[in-house]
Amino acid sequence: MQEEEHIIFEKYLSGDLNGSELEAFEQRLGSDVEFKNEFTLYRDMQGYLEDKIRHADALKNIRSVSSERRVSIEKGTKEKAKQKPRWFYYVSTAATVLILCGILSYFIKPEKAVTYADVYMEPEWPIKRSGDGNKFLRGAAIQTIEENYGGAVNVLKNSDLDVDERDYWIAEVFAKQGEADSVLYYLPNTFKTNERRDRQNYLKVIVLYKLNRQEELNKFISTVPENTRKEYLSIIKSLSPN
Amino acid sequence: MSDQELFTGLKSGDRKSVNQLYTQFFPSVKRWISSNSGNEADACDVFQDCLETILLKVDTLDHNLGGLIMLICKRKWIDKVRKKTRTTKVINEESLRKVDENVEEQITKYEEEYLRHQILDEAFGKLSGLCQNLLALIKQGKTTGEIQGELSFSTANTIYRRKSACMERWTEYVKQDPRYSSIY
Repeated sequence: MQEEEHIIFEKYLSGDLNGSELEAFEQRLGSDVEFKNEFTLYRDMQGYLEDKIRHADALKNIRSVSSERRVSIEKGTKEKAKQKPRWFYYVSTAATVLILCGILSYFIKPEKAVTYADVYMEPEWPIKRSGDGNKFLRGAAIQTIEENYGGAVNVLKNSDLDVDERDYWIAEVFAKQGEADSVLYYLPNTFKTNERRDRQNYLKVIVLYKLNRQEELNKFISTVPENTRKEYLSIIKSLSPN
Repeated sequence: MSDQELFTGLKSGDRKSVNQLYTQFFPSVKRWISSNSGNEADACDVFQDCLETILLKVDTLDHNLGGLIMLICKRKWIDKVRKKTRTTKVINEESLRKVDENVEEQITKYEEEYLRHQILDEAFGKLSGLCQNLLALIKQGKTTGEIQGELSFSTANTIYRRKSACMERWTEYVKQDPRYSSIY
């Protein structure tokens, strides 16, 4: 019944109902409240899908920036709780600045402009504010936020996720630490969605870059599809020598 | 960046614009929510909902962006507090009453639309990955051949059967939402 209704709704929305069919449809819309509600819901579902496609990138950006903000707020709250006296900060900041100046003046290599930290972007953990979602992923996300990376990897290793999903998130935890070799080790070769494909390709590019494996990097970049998400594609292209 | 540039940047998925919106408008939202029984994390949730509302349901920017954000955030927070507990100290709603009635009516409309979107979104999220991809690919106007290739379906007939099953399941999930009856 619902399937038949959906076919008629689709025809109506795409302007394929004519003459008596159209008349009967509109008459029913005016007299049958339940039918009208079903139609309104169907129309909204189609509108939702259009919005989802049209605003996919923008929504992803809002969610990813917001999740970064949330992480930094959580971090800030924790740090506040274990605050040290003010003089401690003055002394330690001064000491750090002095040490850094010394190290920088000795090691600074102006020819290498882009670093791993410049191109690394946080992943969007699939956890919801409501607490829904996979409990292991949630646990791993929290451990990562708290910078307990070993803990995060352990949680993932003991999780009920399928092997590729588990390895992918382990690779993300290592990517956050800049452990390039481990990222390459765990990064799966398969993906279920284009979104995941783009993220995996991006991670592979930045770790190959970090490891300075130029030849492999160039070869891999040439295989990256053009329809890759634009933030990733711009970074990938910026690391390409061509 | 001007309001119009920020608005266009937000809609086109420009990360810089989203960051700029946070830098420019989040502090005042945070201040207001913190002085009305909330904290910074609450402010962050409300701000994100507000940006999504603006993105999805405001087609043209016809009033000041900062004012619009502040109003939407205030209303969202008042609703949240009301839902949380009836005994929570009542928020000073006078500031909302000063607003032009037309603007308020428009914002109510945006919020209703956003709620509808949220119900559909949550129900859509309960569908399997295959269903989600299939419905999106069909909506993108991909041919049956392309869909068969991308999702490894054996025949075109399978696509139609699957699509119909996915739509039915999605409808079911939407109807199970307790907010469904207040919207439809």
